[in-house]
Parts: sequence; structure tokens; C-alpha cells
Amino acid sequence: MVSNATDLLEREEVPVGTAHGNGQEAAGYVSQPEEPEEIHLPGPSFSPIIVAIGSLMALLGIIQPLLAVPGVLITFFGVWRMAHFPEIDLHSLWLNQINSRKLAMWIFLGTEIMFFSALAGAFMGFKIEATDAFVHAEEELNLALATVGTSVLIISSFAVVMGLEAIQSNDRRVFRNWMGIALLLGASFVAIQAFEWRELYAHDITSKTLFGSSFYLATGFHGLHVIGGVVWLGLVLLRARRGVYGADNYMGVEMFGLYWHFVDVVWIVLFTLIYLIPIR
Amino acid sequence: MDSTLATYLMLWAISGAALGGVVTPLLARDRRVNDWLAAIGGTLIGLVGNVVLLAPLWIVLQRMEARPYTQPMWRYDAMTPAEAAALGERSYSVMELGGIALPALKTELWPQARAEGGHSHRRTYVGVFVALALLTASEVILTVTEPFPVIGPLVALSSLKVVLVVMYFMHLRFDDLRYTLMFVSAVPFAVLVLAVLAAVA
Repeated sequence: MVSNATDLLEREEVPVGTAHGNGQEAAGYVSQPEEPEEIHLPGPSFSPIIVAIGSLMALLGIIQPLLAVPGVLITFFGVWRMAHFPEIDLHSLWLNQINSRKLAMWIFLGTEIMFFSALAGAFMGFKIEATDAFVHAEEELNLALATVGTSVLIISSFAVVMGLEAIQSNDRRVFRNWMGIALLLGASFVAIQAFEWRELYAHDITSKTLFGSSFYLATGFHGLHVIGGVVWLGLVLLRARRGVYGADNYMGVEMFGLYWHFVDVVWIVLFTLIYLIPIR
Repeated sequence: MDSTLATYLMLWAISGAALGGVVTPLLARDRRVNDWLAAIGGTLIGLVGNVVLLAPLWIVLQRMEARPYTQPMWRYDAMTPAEAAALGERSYSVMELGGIALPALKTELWPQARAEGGHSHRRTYVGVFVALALLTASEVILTVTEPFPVIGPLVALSSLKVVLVVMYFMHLRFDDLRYTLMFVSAVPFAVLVLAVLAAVA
């Protein structure tokens, strides 16, 4: 059974052509020594990136015509470079000894930054030009409760990092203890958020108001991320119970840790923006 | 289970439930939360909370050495401390209890050093965590007291927190520079989005 993707990718290659040797060959046929079939793949190249940047600039020429000239030139340069096909060994230059799963996680987190910056930006805009209803709604927020929630999330982040440290030194007992603590704290953060939402709804701050829509959107998407993280952490703990992780295999924990700390970072920003910075 | 132990456990749970059931409706009175809902919720939280509080104590007690109790009750009551010491029976001081509890907590929660000579970051993580806690506390105090215009300091302190988490908890400080490049290259776009939305909305 294939237990994970790495297993699938790093499996030993089965020699090609062993299956059809069952006496069907013609008598005069002398079988040649099998050569591994070679697939020609073009080496990695910077040219597509150059073409992409050039064509983006050319497209922006619709707004600012001055950009169109270098844009078209760069596009042509990229295409010319592609045609000449410079054989640069990009892997040894740029991609050596880098974990592609981790790289993908970081790229994903980069996109998440942009996503949350849009939500935070909307709230910030409304807060700067706050209406009276917005100011009134902001006063209903429970700073004490939110502080508790922030502390809970920061402690859970610390728990995850200590768990990762433990599994890196093959200390499974400590690893599971910390991960269990992180799971409890993550779930209680969600509970605190749910309580806060309920209290706000009791004060007639619904999603139809300006404050409500921006507040519920930002904290709600963050809460969804926390719920997703808690589910993911549950899966990590299940796998840990089966003894999957150890000092030689902790990448899954590290992936989860990156995600969880990112959720923590987002909450640090949202907490400052929504609760701490005084309005007007 | 020992019946005395069961009695104490029940008393413990019931006291928590009673406290939660009484205090929560009082707290919820001027918050337009339904009284009954608050009472039931408080009872449940008190019950569960008190039992959860027992968990660390239980873990510590599990780790403690079992000491058979041999003296009869009347004898124990009548003994002077000197006699007790002579018999090898003595009570633990708080310091000694700490000496038992701390190693127990350490085996449960303190990761071992790495085996193959790798550098362990345990102390760094604790330091970063303490720094984060202090920063959060000072931020909240700043917001509540507001001794001077606080927006600038608040933004600075939160940025420091973000940088601490990203650099240490997410290991960017110890990791390959290319991950940092991937992540940081998104930041200008995020700032752009933030600025545009804040200006337009």
C-alpha cells in the first residue's frame, strides 16, 4: 500500500519489459539488452517567467501606454530566449536541497496573506471613516474576552512548536501531550469566538450593518481557518497514535505547524486592528 | 475506585457546577443573555472546568512514589514530630512537593535534546513565548489606559509580535532563505491591497 506521496515518488523503478518474456518471441529474434526508455523533458528555464512579466507589462499598457513599449520588448526577448533554449541547469542553481512541500506551503501562506489583507483592509477603511453606528457597535466589543482568546491562540502556537521540537528529538510522549493541549486550546478559541458572536447578535449587531458585515467577514474567515486547523490537528493526532511520526518523519507536523502559526499571526493582526486600536 | 476518593471527586465537581450555575447568570444579567441558558451553561462549564483542573494534579500524583502507610491512626495523631522523624514518617514540605512535581511535569512536557547533535531550540521558544505574552499584555494595558496617542506604538508592538512568530515559531530564521523570499514577496501586494481598500472603503 502507498502510505504517502513520498513513498509513491521514491519507489524503486520496476525494470521495464520483464512482463512479456513468456516464450512468445520469434525463434530467430535475439533480444537486445533493455535500455531504459528516455523521455526528453526540456530543462527548467526562466524564459516563461520573462514572457509572463513582459506580457503583463504589455497588458498594463492599456492603462499606462508607456509600459507597453518595454512590455512588448521583454515579451519578444523571452520568446527569443525560449527559442534558443539556453541549457541552464536550474535545479542546481535554484532548487537544490529545497523541500518542495514546504515551498508550496509557503507559497500558499503568501496567497493567504493577500486574502486576509483584503478583509482587514475593508475593516480598516470602515474604521477610519467610522459612522456613528460603527463607533457604537465597536464599543460593544468585549476586549477582555478577546484578550483571553488571543492568549489562548498564542499558547496553542507555543504548544505546537514545542510538540514539533519533541518529535524532532523522537520524544513521542511529550509530542502528543503538547499536541493535545494545542487541540484543546484551538477548540476553546472557536468557542470563545462563538460566544462573542452570540453576544454581539444579542446587541442587534447583525451582518446587515456595516460594522457587522466587515467584522463577521474578517473574524469568520479567521474562525474557519481555526476550525480547519483543529480538524487537521485531530488528523495529525490520529496519525501520531498510529506511530507515524518520529525523528525521521516530522514533515507532516511541520506543515501543520506552519499553517497554525500563520493563523496565529493573522489573529495578532486582526486583534490589533479590531480590538486594540482606538476608534477616532 | 476508593469510596472516599469518589466522594471528594463528586464534591469537587458539584462545587464547580454550583459556582458556575450561580455566578454565570449574575454576570449575564445585563448582557441580555437568557438567564436559564446562562445557568445551564455555567453549570456545565463549572462541572467540566473543575474536572479539567484535576487533570494536572492527577498526572503529578501518578508519577509520585507510592508510600505505604503503616502507622495506626491513633499512633499517628499522638506522635510528636521528633518521634515521626525517628520512625521515618514525615510530611512533605512545599519545596519537597515541588521537587517531586517539577520532574514529573518535565517528563511530560519538556522535549529531550536532539539525539544526532542537532541544535535544540527549546529555550529560544520559551523566550519567544514569554516575549509574546509580555507584548500582548503591554498592548492591552496601552489600549485601556491610553496615556498618549497609542496607534503608532500598537502597530509597532504587533509588528514585532508578527515578526517574532514568523522568524522563530515558523523557523524562517533557521531555514532556507528561499522560503523567506517566497513568503515576503507576497507582503508588498498585501500592503498594496490594504492601502487601496483603506483609502477607498
